[in-house]
Amino acid sequence: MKQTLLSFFVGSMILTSVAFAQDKKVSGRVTGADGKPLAGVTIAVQGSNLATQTDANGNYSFSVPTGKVIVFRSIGYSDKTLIVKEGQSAFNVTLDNSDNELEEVIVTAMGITRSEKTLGYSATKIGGDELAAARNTNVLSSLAGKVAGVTVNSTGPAPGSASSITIRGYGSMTGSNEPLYVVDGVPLQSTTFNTQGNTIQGGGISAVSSDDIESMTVLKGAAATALYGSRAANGVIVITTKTGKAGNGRNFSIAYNGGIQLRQVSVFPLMQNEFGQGWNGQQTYIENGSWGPRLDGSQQVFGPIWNNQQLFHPYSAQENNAKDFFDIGKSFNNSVSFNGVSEDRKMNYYLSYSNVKDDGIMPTDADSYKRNTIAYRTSYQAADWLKVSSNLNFNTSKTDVAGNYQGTSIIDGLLELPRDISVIDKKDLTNPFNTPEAYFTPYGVTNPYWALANNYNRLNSKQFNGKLQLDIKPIKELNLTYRFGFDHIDYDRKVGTPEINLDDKLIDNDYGYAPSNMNQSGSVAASYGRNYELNHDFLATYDKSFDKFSFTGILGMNLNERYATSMNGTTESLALYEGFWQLSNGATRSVLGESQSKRRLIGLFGDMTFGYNETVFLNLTARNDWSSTLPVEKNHYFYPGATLSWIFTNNLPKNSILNFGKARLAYGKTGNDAGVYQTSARYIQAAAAGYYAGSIAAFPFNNKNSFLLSTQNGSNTLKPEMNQEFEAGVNLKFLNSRIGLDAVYYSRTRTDQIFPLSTDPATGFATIVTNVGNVRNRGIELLLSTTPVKTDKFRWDLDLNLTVNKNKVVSLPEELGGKFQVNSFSAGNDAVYMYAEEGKPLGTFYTYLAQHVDDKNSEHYGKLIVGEDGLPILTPDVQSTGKNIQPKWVGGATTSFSAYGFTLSAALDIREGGYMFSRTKNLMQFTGNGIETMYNDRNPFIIPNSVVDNGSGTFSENNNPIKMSTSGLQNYWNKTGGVDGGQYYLLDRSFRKIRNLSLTYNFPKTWVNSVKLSDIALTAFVNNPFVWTPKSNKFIDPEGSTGGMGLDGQFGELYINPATRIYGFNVSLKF
Amino acid sequence: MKKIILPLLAIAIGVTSCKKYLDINVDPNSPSTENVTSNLILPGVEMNLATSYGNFFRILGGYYSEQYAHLFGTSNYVDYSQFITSQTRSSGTYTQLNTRVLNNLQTIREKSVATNSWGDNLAATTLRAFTLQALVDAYGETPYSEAWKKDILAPKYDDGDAVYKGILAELDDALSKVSDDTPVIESFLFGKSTSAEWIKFANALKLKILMRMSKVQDVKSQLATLISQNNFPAEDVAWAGIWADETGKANPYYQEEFAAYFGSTQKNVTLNLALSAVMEDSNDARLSAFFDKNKDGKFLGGVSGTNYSTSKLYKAENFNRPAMRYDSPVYLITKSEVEFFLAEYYAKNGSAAVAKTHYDNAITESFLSAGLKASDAQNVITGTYAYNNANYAKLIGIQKWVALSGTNNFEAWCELRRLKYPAFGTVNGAAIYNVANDVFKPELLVPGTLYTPIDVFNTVGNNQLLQRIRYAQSSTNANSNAPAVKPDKEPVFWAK
Repeated sequence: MKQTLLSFFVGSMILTSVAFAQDKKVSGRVTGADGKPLAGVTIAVQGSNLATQTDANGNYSFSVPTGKVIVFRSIGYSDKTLIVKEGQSAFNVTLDNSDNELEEVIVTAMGITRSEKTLGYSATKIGGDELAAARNTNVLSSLAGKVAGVTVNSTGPAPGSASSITIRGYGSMTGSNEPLYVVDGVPLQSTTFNTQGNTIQGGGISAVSSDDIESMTVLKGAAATALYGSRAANGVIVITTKTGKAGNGRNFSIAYNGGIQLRQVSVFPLMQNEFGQGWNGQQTYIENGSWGPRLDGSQQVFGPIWNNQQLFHPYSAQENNAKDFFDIGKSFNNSVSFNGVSEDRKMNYYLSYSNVKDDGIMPTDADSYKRNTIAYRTSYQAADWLKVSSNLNFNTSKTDVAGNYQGTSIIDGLLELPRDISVIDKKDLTNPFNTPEAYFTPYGVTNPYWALANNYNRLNSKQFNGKLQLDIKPIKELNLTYRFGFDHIDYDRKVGTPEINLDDKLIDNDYGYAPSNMNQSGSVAASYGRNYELNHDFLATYDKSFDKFSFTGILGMNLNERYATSMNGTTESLALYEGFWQLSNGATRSVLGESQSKRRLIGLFGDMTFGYNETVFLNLTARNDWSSTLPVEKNHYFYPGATLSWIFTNNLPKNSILNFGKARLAYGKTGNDAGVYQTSARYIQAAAAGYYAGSIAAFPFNNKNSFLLSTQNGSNTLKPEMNQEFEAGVNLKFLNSRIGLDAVYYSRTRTDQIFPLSTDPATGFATIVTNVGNVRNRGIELLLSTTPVKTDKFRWDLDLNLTVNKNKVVSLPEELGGKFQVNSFSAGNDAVYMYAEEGKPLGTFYTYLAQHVDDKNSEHYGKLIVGEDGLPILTPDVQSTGKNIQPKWVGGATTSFSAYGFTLSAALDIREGGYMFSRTKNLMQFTGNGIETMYNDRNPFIIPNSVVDNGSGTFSENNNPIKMSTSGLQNYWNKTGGVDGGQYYLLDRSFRKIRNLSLTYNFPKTWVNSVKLSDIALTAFVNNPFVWTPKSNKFIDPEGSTGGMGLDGQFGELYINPATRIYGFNVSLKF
Repeated sequence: MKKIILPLLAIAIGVTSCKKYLDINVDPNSPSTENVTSNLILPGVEMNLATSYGNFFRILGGYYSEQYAHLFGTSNYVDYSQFITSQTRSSGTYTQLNTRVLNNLQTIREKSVATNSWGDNLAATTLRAFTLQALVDAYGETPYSEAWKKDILAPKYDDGDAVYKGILAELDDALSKVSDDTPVIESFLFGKSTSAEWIKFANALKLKILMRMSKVQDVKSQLATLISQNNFPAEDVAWAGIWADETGKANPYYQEEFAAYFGSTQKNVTLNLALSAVMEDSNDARLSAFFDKNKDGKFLGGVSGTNYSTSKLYKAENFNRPAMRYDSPVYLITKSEVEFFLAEYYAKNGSAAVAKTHYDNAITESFLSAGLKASDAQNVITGTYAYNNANYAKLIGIQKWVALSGTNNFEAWCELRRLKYPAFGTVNGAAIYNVANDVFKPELLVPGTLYTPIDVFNTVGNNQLLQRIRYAQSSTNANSNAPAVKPDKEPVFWAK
């Protein structure tokens, strides 16, 4: 925090710096009112960027020009100013406690800095140190549970996985719900790839090294984000990077931060250990599940007879057989920075290098992420009216993915492993019994070790982004800025699946289902692309204060262009089976495709802030955008915003109970344009889909090409969608700021949403891009910050946050069924749909349900109806489950204890309520591996409270036990979901997690200084040490999803890899 | 301040005049609408129809007509073999037929009317009528009068009989505008040709439509006129000779069920006992043309309703998969079907001798389609299933069901629902195969009868065929005018 303040303080002074004639060395000691030394007090020369800080003993020493004002400033204390006069060199200063704690500066829209106390909207700032503490490779993960109203959704546990963030709930039904990430005033592209159930990021926010971040500010409401234009409809995360600073007693400093981490499986499905390989109670040698007889320890053969050989093993439980596959993933991270200021203080520079190598829980590097980042930033005050600055970042990343999908993936191979078969015996891939050649089952799954060795999925990406900025100050009150921002990402991806080509010639008995059924042609899919964004900002800022009034006005213009191009090729029937992942390897065909898209946006905006007596602030903003993605004749739209804040404690008598109080109101609108190329119907190259395969007929076909109308229709009457938000809040500080409360109520509606609405295909189109729908999010956010104990030696901080968001789809056209399908899963006759439905929260689940007697006059009212087979009868069409993805509330707590250089901190994250689809849960029933399949010890039973339909509207009590002869028990779990129907796929998403537990020791300054360093800190930590889930969840960590970043990704998971816990150790050194 | 405001104003003015800068929203990945001519559209339409009708509908029809049973082990279509239907199963096919097929045919029809290209109009109208008939035959009712109109977002469903009448009128109209030498769009069906073949195809389709209607409506005079013209296809109407042994290029049914192109382990379809019983009983050579022999060189039909998952005796290699090859034709309508319709027409209208000729022709044509010789048909024509006008419905029913088992199983399910033959016998699936004891008694089934599948619970009931498939989820979910799902036992209009 103090570091942060220093840099802004310096930054605000820099513009008026002048050359100095004569420097003088001054020194002294700073103490508090209690006479104790104050460390870390900033001492700066007004009108220059000269500054230093006091050491641990409150001592300071630096050179200042004579006749200049120097300012002593520290959080929680009043500023003190002095003028250095000729002949004076020692100043001992005492700072008084103050209520100026809110003098914190926040970077708001367009890189504009404002004092937090004047803001009329929610803006939450997280310091870089806090973000870096958990050493998360993806810095967004560190936000989890820390900011009210902000939800971090991890897309998966694998290294390199992207995280998505939603601020104040889901508003967009199909578009992005991601906030805009802005680094030093420049928007950052988000380039994510969904690949085999993983969402990985090529560049973007997840490639920013957390050690480079000075602070992250979350701007939540529309009033705060309006100036950023269309892309800010989901909020903005403003990232300010570190700049060069003078070190302790020198012009520069060097910092190193690095550590190692060990990663292990944290949550794995609970499995039964009573029954082994088989089906319907009988042993079958090639089954991929555990519906066989009770395990009895007898010696049994299993798998096919291959070349007159067959495997045998004791028919007994291998308790951790699936979990044993995973190993400890080792990760390393290092970052080093060199930074400082020039002798004349006109220039500062910051150069850093970071690398990360994460290895996941799979054996080998098949799940790994490597990243190297170089960042260089500098600014030069060429004259008191001219400053040039630049910021350049370059990173490369390599992500290897162990895919999650049905079939020959590692995870499916593990989850479908019978309880009596050991996986670690299958490591030797030279043994045909461990390859598809003679693997024990040919039912679609294979040896996880073989899958690990033979599948390939790699993303290589490079990102170059940054800015060049010019600031001119023609007169004292006016600042003109031109900023050129750029972000260039290029990537190459390759996904390879191996060929399986077996002829079964060595199979003597396959027990009926031959290994050659596993045959697949093998494929290589390659994709190369580049995405760039060019961004120009012109800003004029005018500042003026007179008497009790202050005025800041901003006029600006923004030009933005985004372009994406990619080429992709696929080939199949590989000639070389292993390891040659090249398009030239395809024996039968190679298909090439390409794609380009380009969009442009022009924005004009203005912002005015009026202040009265440092007490009341009124802010008005307005922006008009012209977008290339809207119909040309109506491609512009206007949106305003206004905020009002009143520091009412300035009008109250000073008191020590309520030392600060601010009330605020905000209203804002943000317009949003369409996706590219949605204003007309389009022709695309013809293809036909089969029932399972995506493309059964591909063109060119038989020497003919063909184009068909896209199944999505565009609209030439699209208008921009509007995001409208009202917010009211208070900030209160009690007892000398020992207790702080930030409370907000907000109501946000997103109207005229532009999205491809599902229509009856008989309209000619499966979806029509149109403006429909209105989604509202209403909620409260509470942030309570406390320091329960604060003594010289000991400090305890405790922050609590709580968010309650009520989401509702206010309207969707009734003629289109009043609902819209966001995502779905269907397999055979099972189906779970996730809808946006009028009058309900977004993400309502529909599925086939068990039927109950619905005649209220019947004595059997409410009872379950079963059929002749004793099993529930499901509804003929899908029904609302009343369950949805939305949590009732989310909350978090962070706490830290500091004493004698030790800091112990913990972060708790809670999500209460909401549901998700879980294929893992379903698979535990399908395979009979899950512990729930032990119900009634697998004996037949009559479903309690069930009736049979007599056919004439009457019912009688059911006496039929579940019919066992035809897979009754499996069907009970797998077809009718017990008595729940398709709801059985749904999983309570609640969790309570300790996100992070860490212990840091800061070595005593005296000792540190004696080894010529200024800081040494050692940290040991655990991420996700504890995860609590409801009893009903015996399967997964419910945080992950395999569906991607958007609302659709909240649908749930298909074959997700298990979640992980990380143990880490870290060293931080500063010179 | 002026210094600042003026340049900004200039920028603002610049912005309003830079529409050009923003007028870039034209998809470079998509050809412009004007350049896409009918002959660029039709091949894609044909392949989408071939995929939906020749794959999804064919598999479903095979199970629902007890020509197919489920292979050992896998369970992908066990529900079909238990006469189960769901809204989910057909959703993708319904979407594909309506969007990629019918909507694009609509474009060709509009283009051809605008340019007086009446041959193209006939081709598009015929494929449209064919597709719509299949939709009615499967679902009973389907959007028609309000469909494929961009401004109607919730098209109502039309009764099957209204759709039938509509497409008949469309066919008559399209036929009235062409003669044999009218130029026509090049197609995969007929290659470069004139309208003659499309006229014959349209006539065959009209015959199928009218014969389906004939049981519930009086269409005698229309049938008489059509049949007197005697202008039916000289060859099977099928996509043949266009397939290659590659992903995306082979027969669609072969690709999904038989090839390993997609890493498929989905070997599901096998010969049904009901079919093998009839064919072996009549020593029908088509059995080995329609189905591959098992590892013992024999035929063993499976039972509907089970996948023998716990059987120790009945493994995949004991059964017989359909003899599909990468280049197997996708049939739209065969000469055999036309002959069967004619036989039925004459049988009902009192010309027993003519009926017999067509009946014999129908069986002979079926043998020829199967790649066999006309003489191979003799033992069927002269044996148990020799023609006998008193028993025409049963004979035509059974033999048509047999003939369609190798070419077009969906039509087999339709005709089974209409002709009601083969009928259900007295033995049921559970008696034929005892799942618990793994005892298989195929000899219990009387040849020429059907049986209630094992595990038919709570759906159609005993001795009942499934009469329709449930409306597609992709429709009912998004269309407030979609009717409530009708009972699985409710016949489509022509099967009442």
